[in-house]
Amino acid sequence: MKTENFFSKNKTLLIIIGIILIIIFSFIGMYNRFITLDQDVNSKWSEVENQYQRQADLIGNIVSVVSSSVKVETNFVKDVIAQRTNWQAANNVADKDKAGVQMSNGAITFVNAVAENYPQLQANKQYVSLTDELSGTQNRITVSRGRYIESIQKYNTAVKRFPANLFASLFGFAQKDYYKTELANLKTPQLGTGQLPQ
Amino acid sequence: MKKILLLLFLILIINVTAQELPNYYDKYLNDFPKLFNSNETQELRNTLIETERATSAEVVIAIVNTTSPSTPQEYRTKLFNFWQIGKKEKDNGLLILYSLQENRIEVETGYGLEGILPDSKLGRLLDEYYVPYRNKNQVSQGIILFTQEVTKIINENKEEVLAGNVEKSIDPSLIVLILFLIFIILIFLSKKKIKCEKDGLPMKYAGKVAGGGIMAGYLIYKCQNGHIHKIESSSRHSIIGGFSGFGGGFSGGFGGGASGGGGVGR
Repeated sequence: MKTENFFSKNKTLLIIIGIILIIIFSFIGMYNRFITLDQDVNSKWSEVENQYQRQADLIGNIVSVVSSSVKVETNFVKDVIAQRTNWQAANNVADKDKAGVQMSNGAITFVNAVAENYPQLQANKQYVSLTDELSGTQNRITVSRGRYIESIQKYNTAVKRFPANLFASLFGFAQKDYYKTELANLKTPQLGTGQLPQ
Repeated sequence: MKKILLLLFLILIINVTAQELPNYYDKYLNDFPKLFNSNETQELRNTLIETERATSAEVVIAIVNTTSPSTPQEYRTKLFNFWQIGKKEKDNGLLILYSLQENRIEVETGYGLEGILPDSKLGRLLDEYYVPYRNKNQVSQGIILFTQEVTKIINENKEEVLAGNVEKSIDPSLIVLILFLIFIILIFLSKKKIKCEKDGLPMKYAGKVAGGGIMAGYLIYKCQNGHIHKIESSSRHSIIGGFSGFGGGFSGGFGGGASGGGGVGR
């Protein structure tokens, strides 16, 4: 009968279409979720990289202020400059991160050595400003690295979890292994944590 | 019983880990060890209230006994993000943290304030206004002077502080959820029983009187006693109206701001 209500007549068909739609949308949803999480990992890493870059720039500035204010031998600045160059040369996430942590260590060693050998620099406002920026930047590195690790964990959990894991490989989303082996074990050092300046 | 004990134990663990950071009792000054006297408290609160009113920036002072086991530097970032200081879309929060045992001041800036208050500037302000008083054991005076200077700078740069970058995006899973809800409603509607107005008996669908368009016209329903009921066919679908907005927010708290670890300490 033509005049029958569309919904009553085609209830079974509608339910089937609905279920198919739900499956399709959950596929799309899952895919989008992976994309979102993957992008989140990338954007969190670029924040870490920005902060490393800022640290590299600051090291350059600090070294030039120190060299122009006091007579320093080349040996004195050699290590920190080498670590900075290593960081700039590194070209994948794992290497960049490792070199970045070494660069942080180098910067702290350098600043401490300056404090010991050239105490008069503590009265140089420009130098103090730069070390404040460096200290803030190292704190930002710790925070952004922490957030980066968190986002990798979130991504890895999503890729591993059933039933998403069945589709993750289909879509080409693999686990990010770097976190498990290296990233989490590397601790970022920080300048001036809690001690009063002498 | 074992399960209940386990549950209690878990709740206890969760509470213990959450207790590491204190909850705030005031939006402006949280002086846990009572470092300031009532006049100083009043003065500081007024400055901070006025700053928020004029610029929307949320400056908060927290005085704690100790930051242990965290370092003061770690603690300030954790506390800032735990309290979510600053307006969410502007991240214009600033936390001034002083810990008694460590005798250490730490200042953490939200993303939105890093431009006008870079670490070096904050460091200079601390050296100028706070450190001389700390060295004379007048920490509270140093904090008051530093706070006045910082809020002065925020007020001077009002336009920049007020301008936030509002980014809004729709979560794709929300669209799927809404489609799913619409589908459920459609199923529900097609199942809905209509009752006779005269004797309350369920009515059966008996056909449609076409009236032009696809959904126009009337649907005819009949009950066992033969009563006939006509419903305008489009009215059954009018129930799917708009969704009302998800209300939100509570007053009296911080605006949900975040920081990335920027700041300085002395």
